[in-house]
Amino acid sequence: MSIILQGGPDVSARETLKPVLSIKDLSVSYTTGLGTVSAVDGVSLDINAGEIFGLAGESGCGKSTIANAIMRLLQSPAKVTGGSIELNQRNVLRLSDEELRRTRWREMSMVFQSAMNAMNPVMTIGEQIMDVFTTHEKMPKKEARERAAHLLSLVDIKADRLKSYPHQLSGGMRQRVVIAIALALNPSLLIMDEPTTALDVVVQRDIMAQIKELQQSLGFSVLFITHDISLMVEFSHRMAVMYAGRLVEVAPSNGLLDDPLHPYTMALMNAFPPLSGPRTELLGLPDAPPSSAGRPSGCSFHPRCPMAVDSCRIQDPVLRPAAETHDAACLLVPEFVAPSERRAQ
Amino acid sequence: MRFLLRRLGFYLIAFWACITLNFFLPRLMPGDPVSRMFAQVQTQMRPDQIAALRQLFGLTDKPVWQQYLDYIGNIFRGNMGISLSRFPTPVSSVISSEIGWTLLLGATSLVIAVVLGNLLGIMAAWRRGRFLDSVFPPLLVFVGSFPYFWLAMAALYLFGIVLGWFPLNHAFTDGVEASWSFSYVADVANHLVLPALTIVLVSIGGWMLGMRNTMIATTAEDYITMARAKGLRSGRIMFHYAARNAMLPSITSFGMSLGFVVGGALLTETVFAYPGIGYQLLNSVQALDYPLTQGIFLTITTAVLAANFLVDIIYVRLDPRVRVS
Repeated sequence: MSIILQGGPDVSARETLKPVLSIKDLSVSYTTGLGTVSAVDGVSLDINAGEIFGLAGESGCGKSTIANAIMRLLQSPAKVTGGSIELNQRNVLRLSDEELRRTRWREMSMVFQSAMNAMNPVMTIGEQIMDVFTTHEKMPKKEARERAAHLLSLVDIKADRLKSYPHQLSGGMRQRVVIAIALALNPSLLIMDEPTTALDVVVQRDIMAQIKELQQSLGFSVLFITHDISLMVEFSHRMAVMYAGRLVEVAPSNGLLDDPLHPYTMALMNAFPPLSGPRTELLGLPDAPPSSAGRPSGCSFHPRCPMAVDSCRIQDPVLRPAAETHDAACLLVPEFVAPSERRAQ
Repeated sequence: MRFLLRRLGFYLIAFWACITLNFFLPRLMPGDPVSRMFAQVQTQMRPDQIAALRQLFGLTDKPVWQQYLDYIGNIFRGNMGISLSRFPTPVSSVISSEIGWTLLLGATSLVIAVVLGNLLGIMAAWRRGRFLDSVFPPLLVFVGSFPYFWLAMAALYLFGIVLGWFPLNHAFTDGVEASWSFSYVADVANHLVLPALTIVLVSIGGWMLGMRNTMIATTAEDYITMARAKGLRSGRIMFHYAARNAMLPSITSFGMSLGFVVGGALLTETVFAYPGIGYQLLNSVQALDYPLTQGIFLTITTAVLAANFLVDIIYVRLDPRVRVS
């Protein structure tokens, strides 16, 4: 079942359907010689069918850790310490190894940060697409080759490229091949972890536009991770901003762009220039994000927050509704109360 | 293809450099083979005999460049002169009578050590920290650090003398006629076990450790994570994605070792009285048998070059990236 969303999120459809991905209270920590460091701290989020959900934040805030936790690719010393990840109503964290292997790529696939390194340098593109079909669908080689050629055509690459090796392709082509591989089994969730960071801006937009087009025709949901907030606002329906392992604001992208509530979101918006429009002065954030080992008291953002008040140092804000479809975790943002129709969450 | 032709050109130049060095080095040393023979038989030679010998050995007073051309011509005709220590056997027959045994022993033990060592390394890295990974590397390094001759003699004593499972020396039972019959092949194989086993024992640890380390580095690559995310079976990821990349450095070392196989295994040949080039080389150096020494050196360098070229060909098949560079 797929829903084709055009432009913004369809809130009514979102509430009637079970989410494709439902993360509840997920915590991940890294065990180091100096003790346990929390990388993701009680994150909950839902991604609905046909939705492009953006996850933004600085490097090291835990975005990729969430992506890897969903795919169960976390390697020691990282460990999920609590919460659940439900993909199509099944808890990914409880799957046996064989169930997990079958679920991967068929129900959830991932586009990795750098396409340069995500492909095996000694295998042809074709072999790397075909082994998905031969493994998951027990497809004969000939048929797998036809399917692979078709996949490449989806991302505008000629079928004769099947015989090419990764190093023979340009960066943009390589990333498109990786996207094609990710769509091979028509998964319900596509995770994209900074898919275009290594590419130049023009290629970046091309590829994102292509993904959006494919998403509209195939209907998969997307978890789109990037630190480029302007790209995210443009391409996602709903998005969350993450800071030091927690979500600090969740809202429809347009709402977030027009009316950011959390001071950190405002700062992020100011840190990226709009591609078109008048020149504006860029405002950076002072200092660095807290190292996860030494989280500040109260709100983790207060040491860098230009609006911090005394209570920010003491009280730890929780993510709560600030408008009908807009959540924020900031003491300065008043809680939204609408007793008649309160979203259960 | 262009890449291989370029490599071939390089090896031809290297080969030319080798034979040139091989030609000039002995001529830079004082004396010549005939004066040495003359010294051995202690002046019981007449001048005309000396002249005849000089001619036989190709020692002429021709200008050096002409000698050089003759030398190169002779080499391409397979004529490497006459051995002094085994006079009047031609060097080429001395070498060809031994090289079969050297190749048999060297290639067998090398291939076994490489295949087993690499497989062990692949599995140890794949299940890092588990039984295979924690027990085998230290054990094999321990065995490998015994002095070889001690290990060889211990094996000879245990399996040859105490248990009597394997013959004590030689490549086949004395007096047995060489043929392609089963009994002859079995006899040769039986004589091969102990020498090959000891070589494998001391060298396998290095192959395993080398493979294990590159394999561990390879498993941290993004394409391994992606292969895992793709839901491929563990075996396919291990061999097609990880090992396929991690084996590349191993192939290079294999090629190097393959070339040096032709140099023989001196200690093995000595302990097991196994025929081979290594022992022959030692003899020829001790006996100042220049033609034989030269011939063996030439054979070794040619083998090293040929093995390297072979590796280049294999590499082109295994790593598509070298085709463009």
